[in-house]
Amino acid sequence: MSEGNGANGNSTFDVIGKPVQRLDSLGHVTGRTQFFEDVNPAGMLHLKMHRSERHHANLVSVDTSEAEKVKGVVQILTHEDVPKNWYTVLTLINVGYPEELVLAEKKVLWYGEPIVAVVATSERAAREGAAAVKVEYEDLEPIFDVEEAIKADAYPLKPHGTNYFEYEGHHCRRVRLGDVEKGFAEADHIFEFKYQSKPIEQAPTETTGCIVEPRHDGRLKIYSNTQAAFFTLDNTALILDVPFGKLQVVGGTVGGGFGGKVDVTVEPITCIAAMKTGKPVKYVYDRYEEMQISSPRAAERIYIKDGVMNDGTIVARQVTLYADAGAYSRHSPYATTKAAAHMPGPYNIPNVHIDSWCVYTNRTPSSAMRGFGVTIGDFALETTMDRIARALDLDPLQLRLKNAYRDGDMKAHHKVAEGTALIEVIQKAAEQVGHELPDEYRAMSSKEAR
Amino acid sequence: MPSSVIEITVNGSEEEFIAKPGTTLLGALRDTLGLTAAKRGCGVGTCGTCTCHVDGEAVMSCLVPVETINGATVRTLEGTTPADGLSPLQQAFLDNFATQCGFCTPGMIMAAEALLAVNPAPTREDVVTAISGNVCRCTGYESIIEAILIAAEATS
Amino acid sequence: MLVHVPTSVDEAVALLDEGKGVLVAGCTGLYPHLGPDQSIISLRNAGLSGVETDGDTVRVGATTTLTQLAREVPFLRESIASIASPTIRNMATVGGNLFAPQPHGDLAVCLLALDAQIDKTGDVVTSITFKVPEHWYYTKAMRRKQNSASIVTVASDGVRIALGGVAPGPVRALAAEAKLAEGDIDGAAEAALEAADPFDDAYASAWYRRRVLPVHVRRALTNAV
Repeated sequence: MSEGNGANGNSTFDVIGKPVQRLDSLGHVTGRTQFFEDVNPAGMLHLKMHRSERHHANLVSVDTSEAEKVKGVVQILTHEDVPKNWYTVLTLINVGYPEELVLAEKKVLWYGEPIVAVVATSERAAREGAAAVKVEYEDLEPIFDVEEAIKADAYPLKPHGTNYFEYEGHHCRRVRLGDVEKGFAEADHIFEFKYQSKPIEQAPTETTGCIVEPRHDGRLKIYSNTQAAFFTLDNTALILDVPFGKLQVVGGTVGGGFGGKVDVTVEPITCIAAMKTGKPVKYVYDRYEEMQISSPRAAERIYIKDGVMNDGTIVARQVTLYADAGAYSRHSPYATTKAAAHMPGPYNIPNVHIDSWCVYTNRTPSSAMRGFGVTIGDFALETTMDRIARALDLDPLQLRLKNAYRDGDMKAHHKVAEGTALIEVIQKAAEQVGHELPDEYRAMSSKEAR
Repeated sequence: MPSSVIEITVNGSEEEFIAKPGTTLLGALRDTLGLTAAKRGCGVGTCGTCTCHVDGEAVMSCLVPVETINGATVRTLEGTTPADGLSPLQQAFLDNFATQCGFCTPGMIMAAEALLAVNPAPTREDVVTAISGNVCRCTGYESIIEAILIAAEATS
Repeated sequence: MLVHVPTSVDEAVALLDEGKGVLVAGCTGLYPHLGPDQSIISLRNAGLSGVETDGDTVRVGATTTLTQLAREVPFLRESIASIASPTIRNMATVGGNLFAPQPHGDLAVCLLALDAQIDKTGDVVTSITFKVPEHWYYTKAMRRKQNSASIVTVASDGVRIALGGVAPGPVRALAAEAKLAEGDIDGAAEAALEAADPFDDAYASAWYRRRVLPVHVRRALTNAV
């Protein structure tokens, strides 16, 4: 192809096909890139959190008197210091309702839930102060299993009275096409599989944190490594009950995020500490907190039931998926919607029944991580395809080609598929790895109606 | 809490400052001396983002109580950057796309500096060993290893 | 919190006896996990670093780093290379390794196989002495090729066999040694299980450690370093 001919024949490719220096790389190799923690305002205070040591408990008493006596401790914050203590990040886009607490009030729902913030002149004093807070608990039975959580007699963890997120009055995200029972009845083979993933920590090298500096003009300047600067700004303003214009977020430089820095967990309480003390305050997770406290990718349990003909045509697929949100919603209702939207995979199946549940348990709240809501489901779907191919003694690529979406197919979501390309991608991949395909499979095309 | 007067030579400059008990070398560099290239990734010696040289050897500066190295000579990434331009390692990291988020980069370069100081013509295996204490979570190890080998070739 | 930096062993012993803090040397093991009010006594300047050898016997000062030891004692190089990363080996000390909790402390496993002798002043280890063996066998199974804790560590001079990763501390595999004395390597591999009391951790399960221990004993004893 002749270089320099764009779509209109007059533009040039200045970037495509050429290495282009990253804009931020010079700062990285010299160590001059300013990460949030490289800001070091004079007189900065340090915030550390006293966290729940129970998975599920009522708080009988919270005693901060010993913490107050620790040398260097200047401020102790409880839920009473938080203007709007109840929040949920996705309410900004009208998903959910405020059900997470900046600092615990009457009970704790997970091991690590923040209860009391201690602000001191040094990180060491703040740690010592946080360790000196005494909390008396009344233990409640914790729920760790998604299917236990949704049983009718399970202890309700949420104000709305159930342990699942309600999607417009429904117990889960549902996708329906055709009649899945009829499909199973007609199928030559029925396959049923169960998959279970564990939570996965994003583990960025730079831990989650922020520095908040009160400015002369009355605004708060928030240096943060958030991956979601505007989400942070808006949610923080709602929690502080101040106009958005009162806050300025300085962000964009993130020492690895991978989805682990999209929740708004450190900025609101640090702003409150800065407002109360009139001084810059830093709150940064230590490595333990990053691994144990910050939200991981949700664990998912997935049941797949397929009805398949002898030639490998899939005539029915039923998927029941449980995403373990942990104790609070964060981004999980969105992820679970994505999971529902991703099923039944890139295949043309006439009868589909999907139930995708966002379930609350007493585990660490889960949230975003690269492709969340999709990655685990893909593992389950594609493993299922391989298992079916093996059971029916079919070539796994041919099985996929036979069932792959084509333009014009009706998707399970009642949308007509367009711009499909799975067939061509599989054909190309097969060619590149020397996997031989029969002529009829090589001749297939996404553009050719079924 | 009796603080200590610390005298160390950092990047050729004699520094004298007061440190609270338990101040780490990393804390002193970043908070007292304003040298923020070295990062605190884990604080427990497992990620390598704080890698600096003490008396010529690469160490995890988050694990060094600064009182224990009084009189030592310390080198950080700032000290390896020439007044004009870049060091061969820095140039190789820049040219070969060996950075992504940039948080591990200062530690990676300091670990590589320590390697090339004693082994100017390393094998790939030598390079892998030298950075085995440094985590790159963006998983750019291949380009980092390449960059170090290219820098070694350029200087030898 | 205080940081004591004694300049002699006697001073260090006195501070320790007075309860002025916990002993540290390389600061790679205990130090990062101390509480905010915990004081330390650093041996860094106590004059305990250095290796003396006449080619037959090696005497290692307690605060000699793993890097220094590897430089001075060639037969241990490969074993030491299996421990942590070069950066940590520049800091971690021979004396400190004796106290590293399992599944760390692979050098202590080597020293056990070498029947090393420890010199102390008060409660402070000052030096470790061992003879250079005629033969040296070592293997360490890890999750990665480098910088990972032990799943199973096997060290032997061809007579004594010491194990790491498979019990609460480094252990001698006495039953395996008896089999080895008869020239029965397969028997030694199986008999090593008698010394095992493995644990579950993030690196491997107790079941797995027990399952692969004989394999690694056999591999170690059939491949001299």
